Amino acid sequence: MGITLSMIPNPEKKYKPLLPIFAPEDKNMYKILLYKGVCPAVNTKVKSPLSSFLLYAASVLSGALCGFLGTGGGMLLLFSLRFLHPDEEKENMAICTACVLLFSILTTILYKIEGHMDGVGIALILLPSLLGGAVGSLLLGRIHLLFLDLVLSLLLVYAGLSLILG
Amino acid sequence: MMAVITFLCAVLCGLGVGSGGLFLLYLLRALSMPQYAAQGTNLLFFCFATLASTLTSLRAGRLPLGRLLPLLLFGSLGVLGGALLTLVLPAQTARAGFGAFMLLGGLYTLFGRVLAPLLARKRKKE
Repeated sequence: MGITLSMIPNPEKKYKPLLPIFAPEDKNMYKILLYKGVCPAVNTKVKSPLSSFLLYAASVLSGALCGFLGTGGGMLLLFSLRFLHPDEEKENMAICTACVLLFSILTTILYKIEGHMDGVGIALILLPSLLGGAVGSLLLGRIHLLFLDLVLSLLLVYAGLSLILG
Repeated sequence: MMAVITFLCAVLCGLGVGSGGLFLLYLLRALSMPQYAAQGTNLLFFCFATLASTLTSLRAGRLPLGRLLPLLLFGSLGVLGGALLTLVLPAQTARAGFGAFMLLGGLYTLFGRVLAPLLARKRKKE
């Protein structure tokens, strides 16, 4: 892989281990994996069978969330993608959105077959959601999301608690 | 009113903020829709809202198909399992599950996307 311990800054320093459960092909690889998150070269090039397995497991779980709860399940998938490919944010977002799109289409078809869809709302949400999605993707990277994230997270926590308790 | 809320939630969705839960909450609370019907409408919203950004990513060449296809395949299996659960489990279970999902999502956003960057910025200044 062309990655050695010399590529890691301060290798004697104790960094937070990422996943100490990889099945390494050699001892050096194991050591390097423990330093993941420190060395950019390691972040982008290391790939193990276990990381693929974790990602596929996350995609199954995301799909199941989408099928059962009717939400995208994208948050879980994006979290996993960011965890395994921290330097590829644009690709992670794109993959996540594409997955959510297909999962949503599939679930919509299954809900229709199962009789959960009442047919109301398509006309009402078609245009605003198409327009809003396009506007949002145009604004991506142009506005500061920290405040928006703060408001959204507090709203989600409140809503989650009220749904569980109420 | 619904058109405005839908538009705003779709903008957030396009920004990658994760607003599908909010739209579902609006359908459940403000419109008092039944759980699974609201979920179905929310899915339609997702289909339309994510279509534009997926097409944009595809045109920009940001979709690595080699990584995407296995995820779609495995995720589709999950979708099938999840949709079958809606036939077996009562709507209240889905409602509680959705609440827990929102709570976790909110906490993750609060700690992972708001507090962690703020702390990192503070450390950098020091």
